[in-house]
Amino acid sequence: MVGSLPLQFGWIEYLNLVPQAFFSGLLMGLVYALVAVGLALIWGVADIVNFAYGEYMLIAMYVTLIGANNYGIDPLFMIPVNVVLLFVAGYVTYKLVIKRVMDAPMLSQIFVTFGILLILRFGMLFVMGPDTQSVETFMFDGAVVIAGLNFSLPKIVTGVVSLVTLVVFFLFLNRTKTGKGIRATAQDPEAAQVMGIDPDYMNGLAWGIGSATVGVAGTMVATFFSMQPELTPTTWTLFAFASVALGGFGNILGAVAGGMVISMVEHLGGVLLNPSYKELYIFLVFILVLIYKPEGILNWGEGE
Amino acid sequence: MIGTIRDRLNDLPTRQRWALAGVVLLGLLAVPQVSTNFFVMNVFIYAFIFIGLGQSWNVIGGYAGQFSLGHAVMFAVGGYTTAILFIRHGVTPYVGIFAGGFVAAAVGLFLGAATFRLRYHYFAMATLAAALIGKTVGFRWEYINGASGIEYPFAQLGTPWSMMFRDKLPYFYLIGVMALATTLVIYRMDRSKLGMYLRSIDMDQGLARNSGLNVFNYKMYAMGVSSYIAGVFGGLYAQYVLYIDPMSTLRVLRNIDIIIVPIIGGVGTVLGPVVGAFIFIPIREYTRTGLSGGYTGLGWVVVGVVIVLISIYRPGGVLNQYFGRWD
Repeated sequence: MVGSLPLQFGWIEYLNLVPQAFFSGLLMGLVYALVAVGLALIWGVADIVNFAYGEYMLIAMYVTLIGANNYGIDPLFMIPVNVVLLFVAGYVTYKLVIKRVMDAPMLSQIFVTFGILLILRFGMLFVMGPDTQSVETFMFDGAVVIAGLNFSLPKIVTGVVSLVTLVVFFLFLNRTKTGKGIRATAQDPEAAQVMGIDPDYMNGLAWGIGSATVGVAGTMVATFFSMQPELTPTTWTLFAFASVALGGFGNILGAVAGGMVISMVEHLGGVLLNPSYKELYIFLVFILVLIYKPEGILNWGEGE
Repeated sequence: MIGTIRDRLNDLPTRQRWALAGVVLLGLLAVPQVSTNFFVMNVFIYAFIFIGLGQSWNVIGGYAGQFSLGHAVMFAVGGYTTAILFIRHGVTPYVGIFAGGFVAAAVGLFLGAATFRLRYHYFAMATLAAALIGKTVGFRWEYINGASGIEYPFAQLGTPWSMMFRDKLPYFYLIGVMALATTLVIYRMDRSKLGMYLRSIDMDQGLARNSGLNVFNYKMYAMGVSSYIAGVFGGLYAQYVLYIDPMSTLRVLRNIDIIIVPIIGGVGTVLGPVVGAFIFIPIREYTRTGLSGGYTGLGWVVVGVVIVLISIYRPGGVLNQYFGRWD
């Protein structure tokens, strides 16, 4: 039923294809990791799953698209714009909606993010139309050959930007007072409150920062991924969920590792098995991890 | 206001309540006498289908409190089974829809067996992953024609055992009766021990287990019933649309569609899905046509706003008495 296991190519091709897939997977893994840490942060701190996460990413993608195609602004310069925009979007979402369901039953917490999902997704469908669109210009275009392997330049730049953002993100969480406050709230909201940390403020920050990271990811991904309001967000939300599940829920460092693994599964699975089922491998890994090790296979003991 | 109406209804003696239900039912029966307008009929038929799907989800998601995000899979399995049995093997859909229900129940039980260890968000995500696997398979599997879907042979239109009708009226009565029967079954379940067991699992699974309840078995029971209903209505849907494809049955939005009905109406109540379907489907259908062209999607934005408002101010839907105490 699901594809055939027999090899698609001769052995010689694999000598080239497997390293190619490995390094492409590594590059994309950095983006997946960036998308995943934002979700893990929101989940870990505010203890609410944001089912509309991919929609926030799509906002950044569309802003990048409008900037590049309509005003000729290079996507690289849209990063700060999207960081600010998405931070505000996440923060406002928390203050306006999420805050009011923090004490409600879990059912309405899930519903509420579905409501947000519908509003954002179909709002964007209304504004941007149902067609698949892509960013037309990017400062780094084309491909490079490194050691006999082909890489698209936008993907390399995206990998680098994601890596830098991840480093900044972890420096912020581990070195600054606010970052430590956020982590303390994630570990034990009540104890944190006793220590004089305002959990409400920290939740708002977590939503803002979590959305800002996906803003960076969205900007970069827009340079080589086409976008469509009904298909793009679901894919990315699920990649993020799968990464976070792999790393152990609410475990931010685990989410990075999870993102890398998910990307590897996708890229290597696409070469070694049937490429048209690439997504299926991710979902299978996701569901198997959920069922057999719900605490995450990469949980390094940082979470609860 | 809704609260007062609900309390009034709750205070009514049983006999008057049944009388009221009878009056509403007669009103529904009379709808085709007033208008057999294509569009009006379509709205009612979709509302009936979604009453069935809402009831189906409500058994597992509402009563047992297991937030399934994968019910479109069972819906699609029922639809495809009915269509394939009829078109390729000549089995009449009057048998086929129930066969579809059983196949859907089998799939649901498999899914349940795999995922019932999980709770809360984890269960929701696992079922969502199952929905996505279902979607990927649906689009690629050649046996069910992949993305192009299965069309019904129009030569059979109107023949006695094909369940393919030339106009909407037979569908209105057929699917309406099925929705009514489903609601009555759920009513029985609501009053039975099973209903109480499921509610107790929702409230406190650990406590239910400690009281000697085999939680896993009852969840499986609920999943079987729920999936069976979803499968039957999947079959009815295929018979109504006379075409089945993965885009209309397995896309991610279909999973959400199914849940929206009880969310709006009332999670874990008998009449919740009925009320929810009659609120949601008209909004969806009228905005879809009224706001078509350049305004596609605005209807969904409206639905989204409704859901956010209900989650904040009426968690659990307009009819829900348990959550109603929170406000």
